[in-house]
Amino acid sequence: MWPNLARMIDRPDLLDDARFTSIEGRAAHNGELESLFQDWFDSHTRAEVFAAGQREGLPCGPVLTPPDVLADPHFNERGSFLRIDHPRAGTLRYTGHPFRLSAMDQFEPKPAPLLGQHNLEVYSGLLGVGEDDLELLRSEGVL
Amino acid sequence: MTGSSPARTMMNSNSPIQRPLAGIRALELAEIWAGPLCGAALADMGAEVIKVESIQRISRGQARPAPGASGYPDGDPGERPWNRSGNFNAVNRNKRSVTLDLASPRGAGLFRELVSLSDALVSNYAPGVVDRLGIGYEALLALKPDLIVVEMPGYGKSGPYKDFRSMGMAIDAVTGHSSLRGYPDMDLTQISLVHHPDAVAGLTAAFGISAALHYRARTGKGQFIELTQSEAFLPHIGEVFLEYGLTGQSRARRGNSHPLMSPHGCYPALGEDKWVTIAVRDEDEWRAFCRVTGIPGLADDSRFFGVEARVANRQALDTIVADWTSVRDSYETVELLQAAGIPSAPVLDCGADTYSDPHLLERDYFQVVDHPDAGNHLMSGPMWKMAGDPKPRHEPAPGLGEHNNYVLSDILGLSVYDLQGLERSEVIGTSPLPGADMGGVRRVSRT
Repeated sequence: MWPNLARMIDRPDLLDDARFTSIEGRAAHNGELESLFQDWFDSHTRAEVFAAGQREGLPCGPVLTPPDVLADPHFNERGSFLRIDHPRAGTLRYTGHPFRLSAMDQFEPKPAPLLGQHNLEVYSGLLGVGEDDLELLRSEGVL
Repeated sequence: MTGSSPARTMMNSNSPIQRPLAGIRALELAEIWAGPLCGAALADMGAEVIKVESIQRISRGQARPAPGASGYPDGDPGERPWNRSGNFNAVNRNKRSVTLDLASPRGAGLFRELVSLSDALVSNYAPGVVDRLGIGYEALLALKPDLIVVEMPGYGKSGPYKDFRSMGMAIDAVTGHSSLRGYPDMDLTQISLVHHPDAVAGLTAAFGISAALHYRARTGKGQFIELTQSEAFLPHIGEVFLEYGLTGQSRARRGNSHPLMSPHGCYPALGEDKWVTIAVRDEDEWRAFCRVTGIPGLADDSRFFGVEARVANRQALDTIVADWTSVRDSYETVELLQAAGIPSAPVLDCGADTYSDPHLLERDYFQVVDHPDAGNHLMSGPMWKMAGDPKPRHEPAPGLGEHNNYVLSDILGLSVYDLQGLERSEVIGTSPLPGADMGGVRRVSRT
């Protein structure tokens, strides 16, 4: 990875520098090496460093804050966050699917349910509870 | 070649029940942690997981580590260090290993035959590698139309970063997790690296495969699962994104404190570098805390009336709590607080503390796994226990190419002479070739 790093900071000449050709040499001259790199980091944006490192096949990544992540072009292009409208909480961006299945259609994400929002679906639809019993359950404070 | 060969379930043959994925055969093209953990979960569930490795490029540690190198049982790399790596053996339990040089036409051909007799493939090489080898999803579909494939790229198969490489640390950083961890006065250079996103990706991939197997049972159709490691991890910190949406504020590093609970944190215990965690969640628990600790004057201290006051005066309260915890054994504190319903736990190191924890011991969590090259050692137990199989036992991780005969002869029907030929032409083997790439990460060559 050393040649990749040297190319990343646009200093292929370092590869011929006798101080840095071996791991031991680089360890012995760690201070000089660090300042060479720091100078380069200081004159490049985080995004530029990320792109340059990846161009050289280095598994580097920028340290993002949550607002950075929400604004990141990659996650936006992929639709990694889903906009969900919630009757009480309003419209917010939620993290999306942890994986994508090729057999699964895109579906409209639904908001978290309100307390007891699906009582009728479950009691009448699923369990077949009749209207009279529902009334009783309501009066008893079960639903 | 023989026809189809149902996956055998020699693994876990001592299980009293049929495990949920018994009869499922999964291939694993994956190294290090995320992909192998997916395979480990499938194998724990009873699938036959065949790890496809090679003697040209492997990820089992250095070829010849120095004696005393860390990561080997008893600090001894031994004769075959590639079979003794603790990291490798932990995450590859219950699997089989076949070696195939996928870069050779013969090796790739045998792999395709194996795919045609398998149900699922866990594929986690760097972006582009499987396509270059001619074993991407589209190419394999012709061999096995109902195949289930999971690929696990760091950033996904679309978007500006799709060709980028990642390691767990980078995913941790790019999802915002690194920016949340640590204490307020720390900068990022002081925060321990965690590779938690690897574990998340591995287990989420296994969940995806389980869902796809269920779908296949219902419809007869396989599918492709795109497990993007960063997207799999984002929901683990989903609340911070909603918090930003609601408040416009980005959450700051806050150590062990909690905005709505106090006391909440990690407190010193009796002994050197011993700690105990405590979380007091509401007023009932606060009253119980004052009662069981018996700290004089605490319940009547107006600085701590109500959670808002306790959060505001957190530092003063934490000092009082620490004075009390620091003269007690962590287990004594835990027992006392738990008896009052207050969440509390000892902080265990990853060594002697954990192995001697009475709870883990009573549950028989660690188990001695006898590995032919690595010896008898304690390993972490199964990820879950199912009714009817309370003491599932692990089989040891396979040696490199240990199951070449089983996979190539029993499954694919090759003769003993075929295998000898494959060994001579270095398509298969049981030790790395001299000069093999032991770095473990398959790379697309870039010049």
